[in-house]
Amino acid sequence: MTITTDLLDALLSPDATRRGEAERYFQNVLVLDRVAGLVSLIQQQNNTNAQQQTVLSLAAVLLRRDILRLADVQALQSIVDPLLESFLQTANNDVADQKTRTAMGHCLAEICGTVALLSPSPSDKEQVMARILNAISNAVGC
Amino acid sequence: MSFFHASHDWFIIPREWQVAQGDIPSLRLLAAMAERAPAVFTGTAVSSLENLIRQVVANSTTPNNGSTVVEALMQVLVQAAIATQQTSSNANPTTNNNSGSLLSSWGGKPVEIIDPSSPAAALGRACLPLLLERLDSSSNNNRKSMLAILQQWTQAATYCPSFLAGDKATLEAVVYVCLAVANTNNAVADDEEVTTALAALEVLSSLCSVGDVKRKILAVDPVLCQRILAGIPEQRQEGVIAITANWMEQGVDDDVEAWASEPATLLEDDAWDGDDVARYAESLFQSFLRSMVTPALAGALPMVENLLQQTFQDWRRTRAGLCLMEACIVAAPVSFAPHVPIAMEAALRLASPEQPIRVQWQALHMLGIMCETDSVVGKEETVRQRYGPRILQVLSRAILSPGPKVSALGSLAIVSYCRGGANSAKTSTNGDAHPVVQYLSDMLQALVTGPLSLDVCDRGTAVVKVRAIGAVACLAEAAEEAFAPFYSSIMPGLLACAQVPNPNQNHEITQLIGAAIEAATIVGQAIESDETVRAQYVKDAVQIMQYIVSALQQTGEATTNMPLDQLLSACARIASVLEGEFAPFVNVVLPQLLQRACAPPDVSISVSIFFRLPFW
Repeated sequence: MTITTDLLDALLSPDATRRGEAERYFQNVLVLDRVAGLVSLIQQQNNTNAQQQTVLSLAAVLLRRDILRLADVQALQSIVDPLLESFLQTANNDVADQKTRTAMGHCLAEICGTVALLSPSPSDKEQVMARILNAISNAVGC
Repeated sequence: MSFFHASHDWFIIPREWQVAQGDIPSLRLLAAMAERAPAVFTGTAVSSLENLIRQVVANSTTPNNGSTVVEALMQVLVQAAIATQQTSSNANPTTNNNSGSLLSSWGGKPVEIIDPSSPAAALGRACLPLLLERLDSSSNNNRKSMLAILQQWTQAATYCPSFLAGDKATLEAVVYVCLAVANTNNAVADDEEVTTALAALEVLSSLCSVGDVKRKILAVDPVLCQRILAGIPEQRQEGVIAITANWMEQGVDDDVEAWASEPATLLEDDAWDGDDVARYAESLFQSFLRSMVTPALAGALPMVENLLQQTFQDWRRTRAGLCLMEACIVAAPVSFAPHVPIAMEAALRLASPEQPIRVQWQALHMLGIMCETDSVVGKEETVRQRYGPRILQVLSRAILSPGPKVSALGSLAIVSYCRGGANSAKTSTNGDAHPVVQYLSDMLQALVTGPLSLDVCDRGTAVVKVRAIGAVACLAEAAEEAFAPFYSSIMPGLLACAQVPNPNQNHEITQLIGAAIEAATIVGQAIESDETVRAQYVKDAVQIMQYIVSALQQTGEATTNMPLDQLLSACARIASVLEGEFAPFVNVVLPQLLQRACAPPDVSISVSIFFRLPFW
């Protein structure tokens, strides 16, 4: 069971039947697989048109929800780099882009928060945040 | 080179990833990380924030989104400051006003302590002036950013006041920005401007209510205190007292006639009739009064005097004056006590039917509040004792008002009169009869010929009657055996109300039936020491019990429309008077009582997400 652009399109469909089927399919995918699928989908988008931005936004919102359900520190750590890559690569500075990237940023912040809560290792917690801080260092100001 | 002093600098950023400086989503991410992982953020990033702010501000060349960058930077700062506060609270739970376990040490509780040496105070001192210089709320876009900044500040004032008030200079800067934003021209302000102005007042209100700000800053700095309250005349800026009073004065409602004929409601009413701006301004005014009692009163009273002098010219001004005075009574009852005689004279004068109905309503509302507070106004003399006859005379006229809202409020004010003060209705200070006894005849006459004589033709009439029945119950409770002579003129009406048909299960009619049963049984308890009247009551009580038994048997707890507690309480009151004569009803009432006693409590306990974590 995979997460595809078509599936996300169906989740946004005004047709209740199609949307219901998509929701059932989505719910039946394991959380770990959903997270991997959503991250992969986010990586594939290039954020250049409205349709892709919509898919990206939805993927980010769904991903954030699943991050909160994931209690696997290693799995969370493994998606930081691909998310960061998408977060920084997709920048084109229009308003829609900013909203989409802010949603992706919330995923990254949620990973920080969840790792900080779950991991007994101080270095784990610091590493995740340090990676994000280093990556956005230029973007925020220097 | 990495900007942040992280210990693991191994993540190399490809050149093509590097986005523009002041990138909004990146700044939002920074703020979100501070919020989600405060302890890690405090240890990793907080020390670098001052340099970050300096560089962004220095490199910024007033781009189109300049205000948004300032707003995003402010969000980062506020969340970082709160993160430091949270981290320090968790590390030292005994050094602040939160105490106990790790979790309870930060439960989102407001912080009352200012620590000038805290990291949050240092952040505020170093960074706020840099950003305040770049604030400009002139354009629409900038105004949105300003509103977001003010909302951030309110959060900071509540959970990390050291950030905004770590030293006098920082606090002053924040106060001046807020006053400038709050001084909107009310007459031409659009909704967004109004919201922004109120948000600025909310920041000031939140800051002024912080314990340490009150004790250590405002109490020793009368100039700053005065500037907040009275404004900055040299800059033609008004203070919070005048600004909130202006919003209250402009409370919307041009259709006075329509308001007067609207049905009364069972919900708590207020002066503003849906005007959220005026309502919010009133709550802010009260907040400032609570925080700075004496200087705030000194500023507010001349304003009240001025507003009340305009009687008949503009009812809004008079109403605003009454509202301000009522807010003073509620927020500072002790400090306001010396002014109670003047306030009472104004309320008694303005509650007369000759006044505009909105003014009359507001004055009655204030009378009710003053009866509840029942301040001491003379040598061991309270408001109710000194002004009792005049208050009751005014209330007798009010309940006869053709305006349902005024009539219902008049009845509520009678309840306040009977139950007000530290001593409950039943006891006067020296064991004498309740002061209401000598006016009982007139009051009951007014109730019987007024609201109690109305036919229940709609929901509004039902509410007026519910309120009047409540007043009867309180009068009976206060007068006790002195109520006996009026029993025969009151009880038939109550019994009739208790049996009003309600085929559609109308909520107001249900309330009317419940109120009638409740009042009838309270009256029964009041007159039980009079043997003759008691004998009459026993017959009536049996009739009431038959109705109650029918209701209990017919519906049961699950489906009854009448509050079961109200019915069972009525049974208890009847039983206390009937004693042995209550025996025939025990078989029906007792199972309901037992069922009630065995019912699980109507509360639920939810477990926080933190307690589900593996290490808890």
